[in-house]
Amino acid sequence: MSKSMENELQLALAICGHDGLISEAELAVLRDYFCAERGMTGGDFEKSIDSFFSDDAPLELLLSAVENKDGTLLVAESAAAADGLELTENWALLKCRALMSSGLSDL
Amino acid sequence: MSEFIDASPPPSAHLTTLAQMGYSFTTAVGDILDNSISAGAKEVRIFFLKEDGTYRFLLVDDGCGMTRQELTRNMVVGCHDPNVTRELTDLGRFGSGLKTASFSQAEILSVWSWPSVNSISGAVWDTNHVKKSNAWLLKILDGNDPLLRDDVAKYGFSDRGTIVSWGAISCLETDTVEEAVAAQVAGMIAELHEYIGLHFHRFLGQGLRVSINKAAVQPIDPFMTKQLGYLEGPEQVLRSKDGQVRIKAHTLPRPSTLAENVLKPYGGSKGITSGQGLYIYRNRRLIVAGGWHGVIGASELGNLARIQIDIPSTMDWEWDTDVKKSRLRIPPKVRAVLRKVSPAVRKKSRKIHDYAGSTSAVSNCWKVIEDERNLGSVAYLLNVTAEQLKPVFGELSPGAKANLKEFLHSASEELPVQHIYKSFAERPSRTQNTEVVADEIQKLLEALNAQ
Repeated sequence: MSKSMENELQLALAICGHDGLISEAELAVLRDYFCAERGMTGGDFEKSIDSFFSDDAPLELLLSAVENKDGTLLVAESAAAADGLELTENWALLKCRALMSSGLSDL
Repeated sequence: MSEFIDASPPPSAHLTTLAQMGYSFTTAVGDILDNSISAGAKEVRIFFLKEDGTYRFLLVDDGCGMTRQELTRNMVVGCHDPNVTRELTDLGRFGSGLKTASFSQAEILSVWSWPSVNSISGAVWDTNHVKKSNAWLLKILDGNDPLLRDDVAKYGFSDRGTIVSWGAISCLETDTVEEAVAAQVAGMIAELHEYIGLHFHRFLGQGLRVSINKAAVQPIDPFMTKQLGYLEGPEQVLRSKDGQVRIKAHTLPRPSTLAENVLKPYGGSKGITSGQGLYIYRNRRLIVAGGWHGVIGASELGNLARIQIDIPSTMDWEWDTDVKKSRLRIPPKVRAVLRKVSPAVRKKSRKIHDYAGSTSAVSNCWKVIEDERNLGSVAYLLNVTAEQLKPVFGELSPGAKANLKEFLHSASEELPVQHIYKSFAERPSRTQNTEVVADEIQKLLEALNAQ
C-alpha cells in the first residue's frame, strides 16, 4: 500500500468517523474505492482502520498529508453519506474545504 | 471583590434527594447485582425475609469482597470518577448505585464484606442518623461485632464475599394488615425473578447463579433463540475508538406455536406485543428492554421484531448513560443504522403473521384457517377442492352442483364445534370417529338411495 493511498484513507476515515462511529455502510463504500478500484489489499485496509483508531491525528494534519484532496473529499463525502450525512461529518467536510480554499491545508 | 463560599448541600436534604432518584425495587436490586458481577461473583443469594417481626432484604455474593479500607471508600456517595475507564467486566459507572439504590428502598443500608475468612469488616448507613446529625456519618463495625458475625455465618459464603442488607424497608407499605404486606412481598419477589431473569439473562446463561429465597432465577431470553421458529437476522458492526457497537436483528416465533409455559415469562401474547423493539445491552447487561425509541413506530404486526444492540461501558459518554443505567441516548449514526435495519426485521414479523393468516389443509376433507389478525381466530372448512369430490362434481348438473356446494358450505358453518369441544373435555377417550362411522355412513347412504 502506498503512503499516499494510506493518507487518503486516513482522511476519509476521519471524516466518516467524526461523529465517533464508522458504520459498515461507510466502510463498504471506502472498501469499494480503495480495494476494488485502487488495488489496496483487504489486510492493508483493515490495518489502516486499526491505525486510525489508535491514533489521534487532527483533521488538519490528515488533510495536509493528502495530495489528491478534492478526490479524497469526494470519496469521503459519498462514504459518509452512505448511512445519512451526519451533522458533525458534514462539519468535518466543510472544515476541510474551508482550509483548502484558504490555502491553509498545505501548511 | 469575588470570593468562594462553601455551598455544600445539607446532608439531610441531599440524602432525601438521592433517595428520590426514581429507582423501583427491581432496578435498585439490579444496581446492587451489578456490583456483585463486577466483583466476579459466580453465585448470588437474595433473601427477602421476615426476621423478628420486620422485613429484611439481603443480597449475598461470593465475589472478591472488600477490605475495611475499600469498603469505607466504596460507601462514600459518588466514590468513582465516571471519566475513568472501567474494566469491561465492570458494570458500575458513578460509584453511586449501591447507596442511591439502597436509600430509595430502605432507611438502613448495611454492608458486610470479607476478602478472606478472617478479614471481615462492616459499615452501616443509617439515614435517620444522617438526617438527625445532618452529617454524613458512616458507622464502621468491628469485625467481631455479633450482628455482622451472625449474618456472615448464617447467609454468607465461607471463603470470601459481601452481604448487602436493607433494614427498615421504606418501599413496603407496612401500615396495613399483615396478609397484605406478605402479599406485597410475594409480588415483589415474583417481579424480581422476572427482572433479573430478563436483564441478566446473558450472565445467568453463562455461569452466574442467582436465587431468591432459595428459588433459582431462570434466564429469560427476549429473542427466544432456542425456540422452534426463531429467525436470526443479520448483524452489523459500528466501530469507534472506544469499542464496537453490534446491532443484530431477531424475529420471534409465532406465539400461537409456543406452549403456554414458554410464553408465561414473556407476559403471554400481550407481553410479546409490548416487548417489540430495541434491546440495548451495556457490557452484556440489558439496560433497555423493548420500545422503538423514536426509530420507527410500534405496530401490531411488528410485534415479533427485536433488535439487539451491544455497547461497551467505554462508550458511556457517547450514549449518555445515567446513574441508574436505565436510560440511554442513541447516537445519531446508530439511529441511522437502526432506521435501515428496523423496517426489514418488522417486515419479517409481518410475513410470519401473513403466513399465520393463510389456509392450510389438515386432512383431505378439512381445511383449517388460523387468523392471527382476527384475535387469533381458528375456523374449520370442508375442503370443496378435495380430489374425491372432483368426479362427483363432474357428473352433476349445474343445479345439483350449486345445491351440493350450498350444503357443503352450510355443513362447514354448522360444524358442532361446541359439542365436539364438550365431548372431548368430558370424555376424551370415547370421542373418536374412525371406528364408529363406517357402519353409520353405510346406513345413511342406504337411506339416501331409498329417497
